[in-house]
Amino acid sequence: MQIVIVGAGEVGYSLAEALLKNKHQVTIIEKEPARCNGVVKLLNTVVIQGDGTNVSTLADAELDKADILIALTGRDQDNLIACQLASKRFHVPRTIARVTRRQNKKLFEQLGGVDTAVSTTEIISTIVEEEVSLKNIVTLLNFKDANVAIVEVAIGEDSPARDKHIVDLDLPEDCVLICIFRGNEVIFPHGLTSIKAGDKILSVTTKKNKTLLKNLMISEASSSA
Amino acid sequence: MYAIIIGSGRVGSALATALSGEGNNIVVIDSHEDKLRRLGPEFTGQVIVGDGTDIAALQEAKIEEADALIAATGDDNSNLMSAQIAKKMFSVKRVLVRIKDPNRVSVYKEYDLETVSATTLAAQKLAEMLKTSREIEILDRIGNNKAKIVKFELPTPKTCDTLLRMIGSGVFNPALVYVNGKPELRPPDKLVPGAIVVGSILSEDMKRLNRLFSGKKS
Repeated sequence: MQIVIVGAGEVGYSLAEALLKNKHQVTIIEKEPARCNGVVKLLNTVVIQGDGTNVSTLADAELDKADILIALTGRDQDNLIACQLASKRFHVPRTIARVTRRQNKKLFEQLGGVDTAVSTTEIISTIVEEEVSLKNIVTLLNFKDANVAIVEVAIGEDSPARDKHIVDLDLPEDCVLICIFRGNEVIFPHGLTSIKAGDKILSVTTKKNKTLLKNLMISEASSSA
Repeated sequence: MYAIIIGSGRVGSALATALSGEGNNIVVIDSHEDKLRRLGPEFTGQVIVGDGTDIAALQEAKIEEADALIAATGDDNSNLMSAQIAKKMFSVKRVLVRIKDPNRVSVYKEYDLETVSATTLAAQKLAEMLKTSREIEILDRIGNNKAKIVKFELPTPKTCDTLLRMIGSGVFNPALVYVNGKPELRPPDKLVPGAIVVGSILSEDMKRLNRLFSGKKS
């Protein structure tokens, strides 16, 4: 795919690096000459020094041929205008804007020209919040639209589920245990499988049931420790 | 009228002071407190230190009640963002946007924003000044600049005669002649040097009006 990135800060740079590894064609637009030089030295791709909200700079980046424009500068208003120019003037089929102010995520999607707005603040705070509230449960994968996640639970010595049969756990209905890692063994559990200290249990759960799962598997002492 | 002005730079503060002096209810938003001090003593409105692209700051300025919003910072992208919020989220009736780079304006036609590019205005004005005699002041342009309303003072008896002939042949249409401190609305049958004339003329005939002054020794 042909991808144009506006803003070569840390986010822009690492995204460009990842996309290039996956054999996408990437053009970067960056205002600061010093940053441009840095990127040119490290990445083998086209870097244009200029304002990504300027029509002629965007034309230089051959935006009319691009599949996606991703605006990642540190200024929300610049990201908004870059996306709007891309979508309305150059008819780029997909635009993504980074927002630093959380409430701009919803706003940008309403104003038009921005297909997806990504709030880095929101993403980081969600991750940290989970880490804090759900110790010993690691979220491996979130399914954005289905509201379901795959999580891994570590069973401690003091787990209330220790030495219990799964059938006796009173698991909520929308929570399924996929498999248990015990040492080098992988166990596909059934009702009479018993849980041992040191087990790692992989399960699918609704986000709402994560806390319930935690209460069944992890002692209060170790989750508040 | 209740209007919100974003940006208290040279343009914003001059506008706020003028509108406030005319008795309008004005709120000025600027993120730099020191810039808000540019507002003249005639300014009686309210000031808010805040970011004009932040919905919370606009709500503090009671944007729901505003008749107009003027985005007048020196930053095109901020102006366009504030303006879109005003129009799309709060349905403000009149939204005016100051723009430096006219190229990005065409994209915003569908947003029902009224844009003013100082760059374009200044360029047009300078080009026109160069093509027009210094003695002629252009008061207005009508119909996409097909016609102009002009004002000038007649220097010599000869120019008086030439202008009378232009009036007679329908090239120049006088609206007002100001002579000896008295404004006269009726079409003149006589003109004297020193008379100030206001009238309309087609832009294509401006050359003939310019010629009135080119013969004059400088």
